[in-house]
Amino acid sequence: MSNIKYAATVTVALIAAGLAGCETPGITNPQAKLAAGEESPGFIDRVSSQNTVSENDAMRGALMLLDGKDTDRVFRQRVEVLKSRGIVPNRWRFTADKPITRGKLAYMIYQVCKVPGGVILALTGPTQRYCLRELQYRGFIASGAWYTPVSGMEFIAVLNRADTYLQTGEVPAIMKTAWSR
Amino acid sequence: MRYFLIGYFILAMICSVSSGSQAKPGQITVLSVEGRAQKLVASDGKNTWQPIKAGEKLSEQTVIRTGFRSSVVLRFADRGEVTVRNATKMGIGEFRKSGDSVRTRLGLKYGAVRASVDSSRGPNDWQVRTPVATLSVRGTSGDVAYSGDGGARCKGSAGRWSMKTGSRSRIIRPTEMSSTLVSGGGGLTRSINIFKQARDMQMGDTFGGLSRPEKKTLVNHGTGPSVLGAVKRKARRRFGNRPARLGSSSSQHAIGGSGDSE
Repeated sequence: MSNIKYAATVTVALIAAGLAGCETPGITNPQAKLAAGEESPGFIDRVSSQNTVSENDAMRGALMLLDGKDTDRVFRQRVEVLKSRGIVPNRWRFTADKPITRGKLAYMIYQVCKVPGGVILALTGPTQRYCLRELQYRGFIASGAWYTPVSGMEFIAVLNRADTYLQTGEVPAIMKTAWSR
Repeated sequence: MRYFLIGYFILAMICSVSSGSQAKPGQITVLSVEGRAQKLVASDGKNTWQPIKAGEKLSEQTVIRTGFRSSVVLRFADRGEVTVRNATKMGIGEFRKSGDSVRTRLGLKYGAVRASVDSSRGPNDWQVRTPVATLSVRGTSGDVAYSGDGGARCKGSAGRWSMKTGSRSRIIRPTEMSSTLVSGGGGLTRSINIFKQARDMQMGDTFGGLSRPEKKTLVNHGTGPSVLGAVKRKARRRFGNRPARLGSSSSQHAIGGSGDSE
């Protein structure tokens, strides 16, 4: 009987600690803000000068690719909008200030552009690793491991190719990455 | 004789200086704007970005940046047009006319531009500078792009382009493409690779792949030291001097679709 009481107490304590400690499940720093009213030319210019791109900025970039603008005020709203549209999966952990990795960026761009994937992607569904490989093959993104961060210039180059792909259905040879054919 | 030569050189220098001082800024007109585009005029000292409108005049020392799904078409007096494509930042360093000749200097930080230069009205000194290479137009038109992971690239459409980085340079002919490595420093595409790219483009890449007549031609006539060429050599070794043929013998000139009736 005492064991049952002990287990119940521990369970209640864990739930209480979980509720008190987490702001939003899976999202760290959900209230992080970016400059309001920023248009895409200014956003691209600002990000191009950065060494790395935060997840918050990357989400804004994905929304601008989709809608041409980002009206969401805080990081949590961006994540929720992208989740509802299927651009990012629910299982990811989101951190506003953490640099976006190649794998996460590739996943988002793959979903935004609806790029036709290969056999593995068709069988398993999109994953960071294979979205990255598909986009590398198509000349969207330069070679590198999925867990490495993306620089500002590289990020806007990928967005530029994605934007062109959305408009024309292809990435012109002149805009592809250095090592793609 | 010596004094005559010295006098001649002094006169020539004076003439060149006076002609340089006569160079006047040319007129740059915005023909069309699509999507979101902004400009920053460095010379007015305000340091604020303003939206660009179609029909307005731009001056030297103006920086232009475009967003997603955007483009700006600029008319450089009577000497050509430049299309600033989506997600691009470009600066107009100089556009001056001196008599018939025109000197233009553009800077490309990121993105892509398409330049179309009219050289029929006089000599053009037209350059597009990227962080790793300088492209000069010797002919008519082409595309220039620079990205952080792709380096500088240039693809000629008509006429010739010159791509220069450090002490090395390449001439780019129509349909050819050249690029630098991201860091520059002499990493230009080798001439043989430019040739290969130009050759490969005839194999249907621009049309989304090879057509059946093209595939037949490649199998029957080979493409050099590639997979299909190896097949051909292997077939020759096995069957003597008769290459394995897939289709009709009238496919000699099928690249481009003219030689096969299919």
